[in-house]
Formats: sequence, C-alpha cells, structure tokens
Amino acid sequence: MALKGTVVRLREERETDLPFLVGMRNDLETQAWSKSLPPDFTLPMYRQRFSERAFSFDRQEGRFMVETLEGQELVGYAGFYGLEPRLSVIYGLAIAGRFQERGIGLDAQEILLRFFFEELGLQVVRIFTHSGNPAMVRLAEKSGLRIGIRYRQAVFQKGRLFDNLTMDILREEYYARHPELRDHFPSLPAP
Amino acid sequence: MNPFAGKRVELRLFEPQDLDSVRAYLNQSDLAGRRYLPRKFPPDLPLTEKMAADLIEKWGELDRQIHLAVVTRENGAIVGHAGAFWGWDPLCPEVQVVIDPERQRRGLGRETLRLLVDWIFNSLPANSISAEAADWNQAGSDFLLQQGFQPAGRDRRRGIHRGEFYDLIGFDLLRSEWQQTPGHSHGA
Repeated sequence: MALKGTVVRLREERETDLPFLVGMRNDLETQAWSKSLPPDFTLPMYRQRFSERAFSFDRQEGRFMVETLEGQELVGYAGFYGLEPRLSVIYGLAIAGRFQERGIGLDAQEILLRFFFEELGLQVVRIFTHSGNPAMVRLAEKSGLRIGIRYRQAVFQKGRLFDNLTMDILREEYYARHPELRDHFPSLPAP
Repeated sequence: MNPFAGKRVELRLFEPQDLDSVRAYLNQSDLAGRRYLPRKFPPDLPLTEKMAADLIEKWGELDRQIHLAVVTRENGAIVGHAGAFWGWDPLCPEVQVVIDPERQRRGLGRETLRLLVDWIFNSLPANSISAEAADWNQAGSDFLLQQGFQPAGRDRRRGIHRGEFYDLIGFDLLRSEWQQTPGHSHGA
C-alpha cells in the first residue's frame, strides 16, 4: 500500500526528481535553516547524494517526494531521520511556495504521522523548527504537535535571531485525534 | 593563561593512560543513565576495557566538539568529564558535565561548567548554550538552574529508565545572561 492521503501521496525519490529538489534547496523560503546556505546546490551534488544511498533493511532515515494524486505533480518533499525503533523519530517537510496554503502540507504530514504510529509503532514523533517559521509551527499544531522545548535566540536567519523549537506528539495523543484508528501496540512499559 | 585552569580543577584532553580512571568513575552504578556518552556506548552497562579505550579515542575527535577530562589541581586525579558540541551551529552549542558521584557536591561541577561556559563564550560565536537532564535526574536539573541556566521545556519520551518513559528537560543560557553573571571570565 502506498503512502497515500486525500490529495497527495509520498513516494520514493527518483533521479528525475533531482532538479526539483535542487530548486527547493536553493529557494530561501523552503530551505528552512540558514546553516545549510549558500543556496548554490547543484544537480551533480544531488546526483551524488542520490547514488550514494545504500540498500539496507535497517535504515534510520527515509526520504519521500510529495506528489499530487491528481496529475502526479511534484509539490514538495518529506523525510525523517534519527529513527529509534519503536520509540521516536524526527521528521521534516517542505512544500514548494506555489503549492502552500492548499492543505497539501497537512495531508502529507498526516500521511507521515500515520506511517510512524501505525507502521513503525513509535511512541513519540518530533519535528525541529524555529520561531521564524510560523507556517511550520501552525502546520504541526494542526496535526496535534505542540512545542516541547524552546531554546531562546539559537537560530539566526533573515537578519534576526529566532528561538529553536522542538515540537512533538505522543502516541496516545495521536490516537485520541483519530478515533477511526485503534491502537493495538502493547503498552510499553506497563504503567 | 590557560582558560581551562580553575582554582580546584583543570580541564584537559584525555590520554590513553586515563583508561583505568575513566572506567573507575563511569562504572559506578550511581551514574547509570546519566553518563552522557556518545550514542554507540551503552548508557548504563559497565564499560569494558575495550569500550573505555574506544571511548577515549572517540572523545579525542575535535571536529566542532570538545571532550575534556576534569582533573583536580591538587593531585591530577580524574573526577569526571565535560563536553561541548557545536556541530549543528556554533551559535548554539550544547554542554555536558559529569562528575564522579563520590566527588559530587564539592563545587567541582560548578567550577567545571563555569570554565566550559567561559571558554565557549570567549572562543565561539555562540549566543545560546543548551544543556539537558533526564527528568528523573533532579540533581542534574538543580545543578543547571543553580548555574544560571533557564528551563526551556522538555522532550517527551526520550527513553525508558527503570520501567518508565522519561523526558529530557532542556535548559539554556544566553550570552547576555552570562555577561551579567558575577565573576564570569571575559577574554584573557
């Protein structure tokens, strides 16, 4: 079963997607963290990253393209890293500017969360963002994540200091928001 | 002037011959779960000689991080370790201090943290230093608060400790707050 929502699906990265990813990375509005600048990433750099990805059944990260169900148009990318099996993960999500504010990010985020809780059996899902990215904070809040840690003045971007934020959602909080699902994961550990 | 020399402790890089001392304090059961070791090392199992040797080698890596032995100025005995990491961004390094349980509550951790924080703000373009302690480690949280760090919130379910999920409590200290701290060492 594909990772499919109501308007988009998440699918594996393909070599033909690389020009789109370069464009996203070099867009100051979608690259999110100023430490990854300058915005001069090239196709060969992304080809190298793509080709060096090794096969494994024990991966701690994942990368997906966000594609519309209708028309199969690329609209963004999503990924996760730092997977601690059955415990936690950190995800990231970026939607190209012209596709924002259409419910696409929320759909992609809900696909990810369902995958993390229903398939990976995680206890908590986190996202790192900062106070200079209120769109991401709002998007995460729409899916029930809340700010757990606020490290003050720890991010510099667009000429200003911002707070570094960790947001998270616990397993039981996710299921409480989704009465259509039942949590069959054993209580770990026993209360 | 050595920025890592205090009145009672001095911080220095680890040497291979520190192996026995490192095992001796890290393998105390009181430190289980709060040793702040790199991820590849078990958080609570006693370290073997091989593990301790690997750990010292790992601590020798200095790429945007520093790991230092805390030694007494009295006799050079190792009483803990301290670390700082700025791999993500030197604007916001993270610090850790671990003191041998038998040597705690004597001001050694306080002096160690002060030396480390002074060095960071005098050597890096840092604005906000973070630190964290497990929610079951009340002494660790109290220690950070006493040193002027401010509570920043919590990362929920960072692991399992004694049959229960635990949270990590975050703390931070701004350069502007450090500058207002009495006795902070500014430059050399």
